[in-house]
Amino acid sequence: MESVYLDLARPQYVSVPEGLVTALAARAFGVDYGVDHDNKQVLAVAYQSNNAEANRVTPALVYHQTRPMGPGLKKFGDKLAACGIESDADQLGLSRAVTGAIAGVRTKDGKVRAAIPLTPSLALAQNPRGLAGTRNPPDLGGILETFFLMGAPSAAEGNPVAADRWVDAAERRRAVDRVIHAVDAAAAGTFFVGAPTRIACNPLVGTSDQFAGTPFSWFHRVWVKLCSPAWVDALPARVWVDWANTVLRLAFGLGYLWEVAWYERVARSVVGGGTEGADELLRSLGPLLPWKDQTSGISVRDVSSSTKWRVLRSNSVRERIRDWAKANRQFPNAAEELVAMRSDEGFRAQLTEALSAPPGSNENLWEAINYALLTREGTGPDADHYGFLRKHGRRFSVPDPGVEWIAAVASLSCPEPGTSTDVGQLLKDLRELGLRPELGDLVIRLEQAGVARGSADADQAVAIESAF
Amino acid sequence: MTDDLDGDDPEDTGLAQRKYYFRSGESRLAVVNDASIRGADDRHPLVDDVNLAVAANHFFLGCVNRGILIEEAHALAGDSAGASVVRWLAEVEGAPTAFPVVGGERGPVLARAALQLADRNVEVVAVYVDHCSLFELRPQVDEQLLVQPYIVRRLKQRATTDTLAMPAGELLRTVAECLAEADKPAAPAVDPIEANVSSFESLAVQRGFLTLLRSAEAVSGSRMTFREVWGAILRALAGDLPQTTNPEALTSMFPPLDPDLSAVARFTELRSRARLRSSQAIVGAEVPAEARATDPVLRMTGLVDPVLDAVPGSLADSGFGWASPVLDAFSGLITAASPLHTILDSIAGDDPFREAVTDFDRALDAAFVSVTQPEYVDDKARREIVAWYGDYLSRLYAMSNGVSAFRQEVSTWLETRSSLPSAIKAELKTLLRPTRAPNDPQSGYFLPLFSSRTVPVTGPSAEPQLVLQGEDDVQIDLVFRGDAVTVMMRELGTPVGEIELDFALIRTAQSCAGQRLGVTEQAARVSPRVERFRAKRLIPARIAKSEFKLIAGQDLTDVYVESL
Repeated sequence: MESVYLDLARPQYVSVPEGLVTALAARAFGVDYGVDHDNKQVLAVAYQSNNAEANRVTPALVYHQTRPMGPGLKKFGDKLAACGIESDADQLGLSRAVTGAIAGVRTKDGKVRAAIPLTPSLALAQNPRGLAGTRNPPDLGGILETFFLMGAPSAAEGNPVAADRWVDAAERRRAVDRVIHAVDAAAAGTFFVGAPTRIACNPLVGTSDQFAGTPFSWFHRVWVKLCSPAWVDALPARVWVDWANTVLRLAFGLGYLWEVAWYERVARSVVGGGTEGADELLRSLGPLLPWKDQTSGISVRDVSSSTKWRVLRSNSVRERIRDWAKANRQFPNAAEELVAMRSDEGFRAQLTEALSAPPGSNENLWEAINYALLTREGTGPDADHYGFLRKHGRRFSVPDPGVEWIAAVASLSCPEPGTSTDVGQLLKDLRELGLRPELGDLVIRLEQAGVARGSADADQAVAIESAF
Repeated sequence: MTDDLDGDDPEDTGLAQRKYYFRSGESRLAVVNDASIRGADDRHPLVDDVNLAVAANHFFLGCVNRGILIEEAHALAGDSAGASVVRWLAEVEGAPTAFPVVGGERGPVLARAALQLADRNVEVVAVYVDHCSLFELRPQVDEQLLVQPYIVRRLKQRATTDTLAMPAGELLRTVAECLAEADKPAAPAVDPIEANVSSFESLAVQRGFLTLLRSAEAVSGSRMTFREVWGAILRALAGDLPQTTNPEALTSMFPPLDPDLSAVARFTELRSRARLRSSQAIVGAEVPAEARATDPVLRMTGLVDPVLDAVPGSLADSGFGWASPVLDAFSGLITAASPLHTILDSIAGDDPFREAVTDFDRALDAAFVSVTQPEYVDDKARREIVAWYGDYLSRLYAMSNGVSAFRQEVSTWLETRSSLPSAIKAELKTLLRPTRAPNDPQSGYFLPLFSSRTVPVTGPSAEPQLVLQGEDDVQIDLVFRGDAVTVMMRELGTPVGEIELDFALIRTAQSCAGQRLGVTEQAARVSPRVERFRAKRLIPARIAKSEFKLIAGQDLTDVYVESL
């Protein structure tokens, strides 16, 4: 490790789950939406916006909606017919059916709605600015690529980056699913001027094994697996996207939570006069979110207050480490940096103060983590079955993964679709994510999700069958 | 298994050991009695034990849970005969080995193969004892180690099943016989534990109790080990006293009642003691829900508390009703009539309930009749007492007859372990593939293509929807793996999905009526699995040959999609 300071970009919360795939797609394709604007303005594109946002123009932003409406529906219907989907009686009705079917989840109080990123054209039916509603949203795609690289083992040097993996999966989907193939072509011919232009992504450079056993290594391994042809072929199109969103949400939320824990661990070691090297510190991080079993009381299971407090306080710790690292660039690696930090009395005093000071202002980071992990809508047609945390009243959030979260994460512990693994392997994968559920509680959840059947005394040998 | 062998251990410490040795003539047998017992530094003691046995040319028998196999298989380093055997048992792939385990067969109950050593082959046999329920007839293996089929007895067959042929039945009868020979307490009429012992002297009551436990396995979706069976028997005999009470206090715990006690005090005392009565204790009638959820026995048996589902009717009828004798006993005004006597007057002469009823129950019944007279309690208190005693008699009646909650579903669960009756087959079709018009089986099965939830279109569609049309020619078959049964669905002979046929699915399927979907308290558990089952119809390989439709309101039109 070169430095204990990781220099990760600062995140903001992601308003719709589809935004993460769109962020990766935006790194892989350039696209012309055919909307005029002057040089000082940028385009904020959403598949569907509420009326106030739909075609608003500000000095900085030009809002644009891609969902075909009114006469656009006829044009989209014609495109569908030209691309190979035709109704023998009602092409306009077919157009309305498809535009409705590809609309993503509607979030509570959300101003925009994304298209389900089933293909490149649908992923690009919105852009990060449109989903964030700001001129300069954080580079979500860049953040995900950084996490993907951090988790890449040294043997992955030169392999495709996360966005390229997704493109490969999307291409595979187009190649094996005739409906998707036609809808993608029709969307491309309707939403854009000309086809999206593929941007060559650089392969992975600078891989190492230093972040093995962290959420980053889980993300890398599972994303490569999910984007493989075997998993694309095994999953229905919508389920694949939901699983992809689940993986990206977990990587995003738990990746930043890991960063919080990392700086805190470094700071405590420096303040406490520890002698651990960077690798030892990295291996000694505790669980990122305490996951108590379902029989415990809500207040015992709550992670909201403790995690929020920890996240808010982390900013001052991180800033002090950042400032120190930037002012002391002469150290070739983290090990020597740590030695120097421990011998710097002034710096230790700063860290001591930062660790004991009241929580600072770091709402963006907290919201980014919280909304990535939180179950959005609990019930109804837009119910989120892929959340990890569930709110109880205004005050508490508890680890209570949705049944499809369990099915997706457990299935991705299996080597291939249609195969099985055991709870021991799943626990190992969850530990990598910083989650340590109790065995009995996990088995009950697996049984409820229909992917495992407990057996007395089987312990970690309880078999898990892949959901697909 | 070692009765005829001579112990060959250097000393008997009186403590449970991981391993014992036996000798018979020139042959020596090493028995790992419990592979969970291990030293703190032992990384793979089972592997080491097998290696020792191979090196010394001993016979070897190990009792191992599956978790140990996985742990040791993951902890292995290096190649050895023991490592190969453990990998074979755990079904974990390993590096090429000089000690291959080859050939043989691997069935759900028994697996056999040969460990190839340089100078000889060693036969390896694994018996998966967790495959079969302890409440079924003990599976038999012949001299050639061929396994006889595992047969799950149907609910109605259980009334005539030889309980001694069930492992759990043999244990229960042995315990009951031992206790029947024990000294009687000073005041048997008011001692609930003596009442329990007395009830279990009846083979019919034993049979009913075993059926209740088997029902608990069906509903909870798990099987009891001997540990849980022991726990259930102990709970049925003594409630939670072993956990809560000093053994020395037991001898004076149930003194005779003072004849001068008021009617209220007498009933209150007997009601308190009645919590230990088998039928109350086995379902945790007086145990808080949180404690039931964590108790290894009650978390299963609490699910089948008969009062959760007291269906009117008689056991003599062809349906699944059973509770009428009890309900009728409480149907009139509470007078001096005894509900217990009313039930006994109305049931058949050979009803096992007669053998379950003891002097304790008669004393409780008399106390109930007294306390419910107008001069002792007000209406509110009387209603509460009547409700409690109604539940008490319902449980006692149900347990002695082997009646659990959800009796119909349990019956179907047991039946579907070996066949698929036409009624449940039709209900499963409705649940898994509801047609667009519930009253028209030919109206087609339509799945929206990109919805987050795979819910078929039933009824008119408010917004136009692009849907996939499933084939009308559907076959449903079952695949059996011990107690686990999987529903396989095929369209025109091509598999399109599979789903485990567990209690939750059966209950939900049986709530479907007239080809309309039903909903039960199991919805949260079943819906995601059913939706995943349906979603398997939407994978690319199955979409390739499908037809698509546009549904708008009531209208259905063809949609043509070009092939790739």
